[in-house]
Amino acid sequence: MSGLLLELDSIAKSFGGIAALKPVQLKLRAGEVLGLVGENGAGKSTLIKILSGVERPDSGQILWNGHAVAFESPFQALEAGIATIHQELAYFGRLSVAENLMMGDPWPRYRWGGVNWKDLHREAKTRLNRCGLNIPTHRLFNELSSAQKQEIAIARALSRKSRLLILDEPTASLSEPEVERLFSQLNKLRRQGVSILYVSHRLDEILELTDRVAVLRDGELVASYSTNSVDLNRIVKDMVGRPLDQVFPRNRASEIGSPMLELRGVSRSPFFYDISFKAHAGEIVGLAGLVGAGRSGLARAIYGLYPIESGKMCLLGREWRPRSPCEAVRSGLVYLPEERKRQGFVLDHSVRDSISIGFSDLITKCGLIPRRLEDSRVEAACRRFSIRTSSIRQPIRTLSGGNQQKCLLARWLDRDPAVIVLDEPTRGVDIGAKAEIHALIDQLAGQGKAVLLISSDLPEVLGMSDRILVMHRGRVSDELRGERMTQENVIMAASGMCAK
Amino acid sequence: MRYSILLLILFAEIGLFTVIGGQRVDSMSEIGRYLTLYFSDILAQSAPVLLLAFGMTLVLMTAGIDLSVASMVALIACVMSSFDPGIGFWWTAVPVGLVLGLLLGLTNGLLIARLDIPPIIATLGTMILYRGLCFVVMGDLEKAPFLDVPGYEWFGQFLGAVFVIAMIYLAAGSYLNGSRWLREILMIGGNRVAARYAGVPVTRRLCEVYAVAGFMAFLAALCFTARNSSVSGSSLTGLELHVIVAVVLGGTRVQGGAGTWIGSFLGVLILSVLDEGLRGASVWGEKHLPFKISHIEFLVLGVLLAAGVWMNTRFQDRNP
Repeated sequence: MSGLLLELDSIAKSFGGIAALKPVQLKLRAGEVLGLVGENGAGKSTLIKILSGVERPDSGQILWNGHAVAFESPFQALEAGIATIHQELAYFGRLSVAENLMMGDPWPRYRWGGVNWKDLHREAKTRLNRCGLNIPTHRLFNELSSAQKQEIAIARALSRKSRLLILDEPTASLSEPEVERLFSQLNKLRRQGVSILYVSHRLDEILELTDRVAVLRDGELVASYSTNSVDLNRIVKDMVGRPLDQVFPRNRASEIGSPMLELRGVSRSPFFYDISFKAHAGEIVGLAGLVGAGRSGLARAIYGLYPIESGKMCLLGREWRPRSPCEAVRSGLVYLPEERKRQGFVLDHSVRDSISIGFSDLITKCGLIPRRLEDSRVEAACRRFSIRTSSIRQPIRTLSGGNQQKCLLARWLDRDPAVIVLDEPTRGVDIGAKAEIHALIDQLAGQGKAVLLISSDLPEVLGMSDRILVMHRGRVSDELRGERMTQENVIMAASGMCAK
Repeated sequence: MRYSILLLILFAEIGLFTVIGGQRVDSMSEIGRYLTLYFSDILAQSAPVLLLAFGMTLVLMTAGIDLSVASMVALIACVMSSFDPGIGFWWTAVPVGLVLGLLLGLTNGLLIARLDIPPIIATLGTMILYRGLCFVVMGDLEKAPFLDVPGYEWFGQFLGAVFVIAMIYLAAGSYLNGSRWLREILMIGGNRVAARYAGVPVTRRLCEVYAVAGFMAFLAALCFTARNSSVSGSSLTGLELHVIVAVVLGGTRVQGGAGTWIGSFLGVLILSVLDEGLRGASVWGEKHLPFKISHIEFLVLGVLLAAGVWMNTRFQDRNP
């Protein structure tokens, strides 16, 4: 291998007092493919942002080709030869492939100033050909498949003679054959001497593609080894690192009741396929997986937000084909959405209105809500869930995230639902409220409700659940119970490798 | 806070136009008599707009808009005018008008909720469509069967107008204020996605709201025809603008999720007083102004709409 291309020397960055990256050392040689792995929040994105000039490090320095550099903007990083392809491709969907490819470069023009479209497309074509691509340059960007979009992004990056290509979760929306094509493309680049920093959750891809793997955990570079000499278990162990130190409540009885919700071969492409499971009374079923694995989509289909294409669902022993959330709620199945602000509340409305919308149809007389009864019920709910608010007339926006989440729970529980689907119930919630919500979830299962817990927080899903279904690319890749419920196994199954 | 501003504007207007109109008011009792007379007249005069404003408030609460209200009133009035006058009018024309109003409103609702057409476009379409139907029904004629119907003129008089308005604003308004239905409407307006997630039947509620607007158009058609006695294909053109300006001025947010009927009521009164005042001041205007005073009406409407929207964003956080 040739010389050092990039060296990070004690790069650190913190946001609002919380260290996202503790001093990190990282080296990358020319023509090397380095895989960067780590759990959510391990600091991968921060590292990418610093390298691509979006963020500036608090301390430390970047040596690029042996010279210290400080990128003031993404443009400078690009000029220097670092091209970043972010997870969300920022392109112009209504413009043609050629225009997108040439964006930011000087366009061929006639003497009078007009764009010479013929030359523009010819130039775009040669650039694509150089990368071995054959995409018509007149097509609109939006009409391309995700794989083609990615290829255009790479071609664009390379047309600038970039020497380092950073890819952030490039395969998140690609199908298997598309991944293969991407890999052969990347291998070609590697032979041309381009270095690649490949960030992914998918460990199988990392093992297949990279020369070296670096593991980030809680903002620190905990390990780095050459891919040939390492096995999967070692990587997973390093990613997880810490033991489960959080204590999770478990006061519910361990026996479970009759099945409340049953799914048999339920599919809806392209979100999830052939999902089968049963959730019993008094049981917490964890649903783990990477973001985009189809967990939320499945939950929304169960809640009636959109129909399933095939398979059968049963709720409380009867066939379940909800047409709307309204029907789901009335039948005893409730759902707590993952995005509180967008899917949960009207932020201007009062705490009372936000909570009572979930149950006031039960107490209305001739369509009217009895004010006193409503207020006392809401106040009782606030006490029971220890929602901290000075008045129930306060706008919901003034509450903290944790209190808002508890309001969302309080909304449904006066209905006494049979099945509760929780989607990331503790995301963005402080530790104290988190513990309270965990206690509440345990209590709910103890009352004989079936709880489906979707969570990306590994300790949470391991600590709370009776068993865990792990999803990978829209399918249940593994079901973990008892002793097999470990962080390692969840990560393996979530990244598509079943460790039997 | 907001109501006091609106009341202030209202009385300032009345004062201004009283002075300009050359009305002589010397004693307190005379002022009282003058105001009573004035308001009873204004109220009977503006009954159709008040009724439409009630429906429009609901529509705006859902973050929608209904541009077709004036066309609906005209179409209902036109269809009703084609029936024979006489006592039979009550059980032929009036129920037909009622059903027509609900159907027209429901059409708007279905276009918006089912087909997902933006409210402003959907109702712009039906505004033109319903107006076109008016001309199909009426041709170039102007018909006036209404005053030959026994008892019909009651709706155009003070007592009838006040009765209908009170039924709507006091009875229906206070019922709705305590209802779950209105909560659901406000939630849809404030955040449609969240409303759906909270189990609110969004499509159905939206249809209902636009149907209510259609029902209000029917009531407005009763009051309008009883007072004006005649109707033609081009009746009430442009009235929807008055209604929208009044409701926005009254503090209902165009973004949805908030609004009150008291505000809309005051908003309508402010516009009616303005209308009436400008008409009364025409003699004064001819003497003192280089243009016809009635010509500045749209100018004032535009300013009021902008001012209303500004006030709504300014005082957004508090309830009025």
